[in-house]
Amino acid sequence: MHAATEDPGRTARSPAQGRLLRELEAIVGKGNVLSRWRDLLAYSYDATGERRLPDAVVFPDSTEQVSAVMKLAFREGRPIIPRGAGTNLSGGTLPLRGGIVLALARLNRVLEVDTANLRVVVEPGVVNLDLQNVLAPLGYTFAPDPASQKASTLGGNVGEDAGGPHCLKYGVTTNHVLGMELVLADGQVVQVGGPVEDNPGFDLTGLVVGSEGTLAVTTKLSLRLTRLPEAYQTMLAVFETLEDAGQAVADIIAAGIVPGTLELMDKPILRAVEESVHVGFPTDAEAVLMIEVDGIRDDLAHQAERISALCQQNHVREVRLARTAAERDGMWTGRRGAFGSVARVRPAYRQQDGTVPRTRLVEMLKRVRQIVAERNLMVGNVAHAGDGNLHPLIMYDDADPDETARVEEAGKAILAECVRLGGTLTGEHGIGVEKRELMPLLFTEQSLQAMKWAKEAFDPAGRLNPDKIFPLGGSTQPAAEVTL
Amino acid sequence: MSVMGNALTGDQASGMELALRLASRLDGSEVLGPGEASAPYTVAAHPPLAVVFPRSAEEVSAVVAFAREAKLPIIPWGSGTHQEMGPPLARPGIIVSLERMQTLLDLDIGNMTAEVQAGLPNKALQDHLAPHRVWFPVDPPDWDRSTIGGNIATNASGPSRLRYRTLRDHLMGLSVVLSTGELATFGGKTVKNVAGYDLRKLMIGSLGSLGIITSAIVRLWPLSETSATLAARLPNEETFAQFSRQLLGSYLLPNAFERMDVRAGADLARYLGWTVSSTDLVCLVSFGGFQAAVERQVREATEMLLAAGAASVEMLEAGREAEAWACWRRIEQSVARGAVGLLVGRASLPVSRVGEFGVLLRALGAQCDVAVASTAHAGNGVVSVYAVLESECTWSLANAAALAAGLRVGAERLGGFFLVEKAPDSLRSETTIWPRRSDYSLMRALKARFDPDGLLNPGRGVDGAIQDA
Repeated sequence: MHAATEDPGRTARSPAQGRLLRELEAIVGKGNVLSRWRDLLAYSYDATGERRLPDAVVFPDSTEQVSAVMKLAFREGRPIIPRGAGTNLSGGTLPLRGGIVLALARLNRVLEVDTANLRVVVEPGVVNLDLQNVLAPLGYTFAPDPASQKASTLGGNVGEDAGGPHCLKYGVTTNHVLGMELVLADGQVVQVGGPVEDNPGFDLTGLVVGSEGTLAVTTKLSLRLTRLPEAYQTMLAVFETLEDAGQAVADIIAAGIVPGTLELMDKPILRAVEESVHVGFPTDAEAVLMIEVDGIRDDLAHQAERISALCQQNHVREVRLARTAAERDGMWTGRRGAFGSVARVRPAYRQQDGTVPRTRLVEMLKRVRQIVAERNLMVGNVAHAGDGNLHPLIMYDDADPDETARVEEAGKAILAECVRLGGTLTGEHGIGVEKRELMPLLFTEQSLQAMKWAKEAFDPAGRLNPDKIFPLGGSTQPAAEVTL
Repeated sequence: MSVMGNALTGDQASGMELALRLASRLDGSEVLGPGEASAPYTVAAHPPLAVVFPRSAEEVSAVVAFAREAKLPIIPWGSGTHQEMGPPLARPGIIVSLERMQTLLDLDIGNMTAEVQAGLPNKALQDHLAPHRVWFPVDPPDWDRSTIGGNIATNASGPSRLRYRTLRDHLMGLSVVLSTGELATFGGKTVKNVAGYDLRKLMIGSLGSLGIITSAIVRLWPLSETSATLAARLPNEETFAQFSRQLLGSYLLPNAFERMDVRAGADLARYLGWTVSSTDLVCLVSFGGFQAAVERQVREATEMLLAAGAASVEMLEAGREAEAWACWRRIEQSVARGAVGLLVGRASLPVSRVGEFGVLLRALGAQCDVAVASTAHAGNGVVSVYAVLESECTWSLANAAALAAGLRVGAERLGGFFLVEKAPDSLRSETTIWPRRSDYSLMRALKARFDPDGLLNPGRGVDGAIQDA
């Protein structure tokens, strides 16, 4: 454990370390390698808050440089940890065994925009929102728009198979990746998938998306574009009970309507949001559904009417239709602000990510409340109700070790409950370090073994982002934690 | 236990003994030994060593465990519609037919999911779903015969892929018997699921070379409240290109956009009473959803067609719409009528290059003296090519091989690829089946881990006759 005030001798390098740094500098240039303790510290953590120091951070600028760095790391037996913006929520970018952090921030070029063929080719360091800003004026979008889109990179979105609030209708990241250029653990460059569809052989693109940087490093991504819809109709439905809101969701889907967005916020969230951004959310309602339908203009009024009627059938207190773009923006500001606003309630919050079949969502939300209450904690719930993906936000004081321990415990209990109800451990954040020991809850030994075969085929020496996804079981973690 | 066989010849005795041993592992499942009854299960001129009809994933496990001990190849079989796809099978083996595994295990309308045994034919699933006003939007032309497991193993698709995309977007869960004989399960009933590697994707299009799919959970979608299809006749490539560009660049959300040359569109033209000329292109564009939007889209698409210079446009609903699509589904059989065989190929191209490929196909067909027909999922850039083999003489086969070689080069020049999907066995050994790629070695590494003894459909996947880039 290192104290924060002093540099724990990292500058006193071994000869091997010095040689490694010189070789890295020869590949990417002197200014593109970080090795001072203070600099490494900045790459020792992600959004989960844990810290592990890497040996070096490099910023390659081309596929060739990525390949050369990986060949070097392969020869030297050093782990490689690919990193985008470090926004991930499961510990996926923690350099658990030290090694070389491959920071892809400089690979941020949009290489080709081909709207006639509905595709773009980008480098992995392009920020999701930056791509959206290129596409929107042309009338197109890259459908995955995770909440982190202002900061998170497309390479990171691909690594985690990121979701967002539009997945029920439009799918998750994997549904929008056509192909990629990969650099394998030994530095070999391979094209998988295609710019075109139906490629022969195995769908390696589908395997690599969501593999959390453990199979290969992406250097180019061929992505599918989606035409922006002609029109939207956004609405808020205010309910007195969670059950009514849940039943309304079921009835909407059963009526043959597939909304672009179907988000649920509960009372603690509504209060926190209203205190922080003042968008007119009711603070005394048990649940609000934010529903948005999109598509051909002529359809939307009809769909909104059907949705309103189904909400009425479920004792809705009020249905508010966004009549203007400003009203729509207000509703979205409230929804997108949910995470930030809970930070005002307590010093810290822990966001969980579990998924259950849609029909079990209300039951699960009630279990979340129970699990949290039993541990004397506070929780608010935001859920992508259409796809059964819930994000309980447990609010706590991270300076209190006892409360923090209870938060950890509650998180695990919530995930176990999701699995028990036929759901899964993660809908969009990934397994990383955080959930790897829970994998046996979801997968049999045989199923995990098949995943390991895939890992062995891509990375037999286990150099890429080690100790992620698969349970370590009893074995100890090799690198020391950094304390500040 | 029951073993059905025919009178044995001396050569068949060991095959019969194998069938008996296999049957002893299963409690009452049927096993066919070599002979007449098992002859229809011949793949790439390899008659089966035995054919077994398990009724559960456990029985599939038992068969695979048996084959592994005996070091005998295993050939999964759905309905046999795509056994010619991919590189040819290298060795004979035990056919594991899923014909007795057709149960709809779970229909969960609230979650919009169905769980089915792999041997259930696609259309049979659709018939279960229709009363609930939902469907599974994977609609290959042979959906009345092909099975869900087979659809997954071959990555089958149909016209609705334009709006709904392909199997990788609708496969939520999968159970697979691995080469070890063990059952593995991936995914489940949730749209979002990023726990661990997505091995569901790996099984799609894997041609039974990584494991035997025993059941699947698929995503369901609401059936359209109303639908309509426009049939149009466009006089040349220029008018087609203009219409295609305008339709695909618009706000309209067609369910399907199919293009046929005159040979492929002959049945449809006849049904609609059209007289066609050789350069005509026949299109079907369908829309589905709520009434108001369908009406407007049909109106606007009709305007686009007329502005582009369509020679005929007809709006089809109900029975006429169904008949038009039935014509589309019969294309392969219609083209094959009177021929001794077909070479079926598939090109995948950038959407904007489909017309150029059409021109190339016409030119190469004339040059190689092969009658050709083609259809395309025009909004996806996926073209099916049918080369008619008029005789079995070497000359005719050589012409077809030359055509395939020319199309391969041409498709690559257009930014895509061409592959041979089905061909007579004699031609498959001469024609390179799959395009060159740089990722085959990675695929072979996967195959080696998943199937170290090379017993799952040997030769039919990446361990077969393919070339690295």
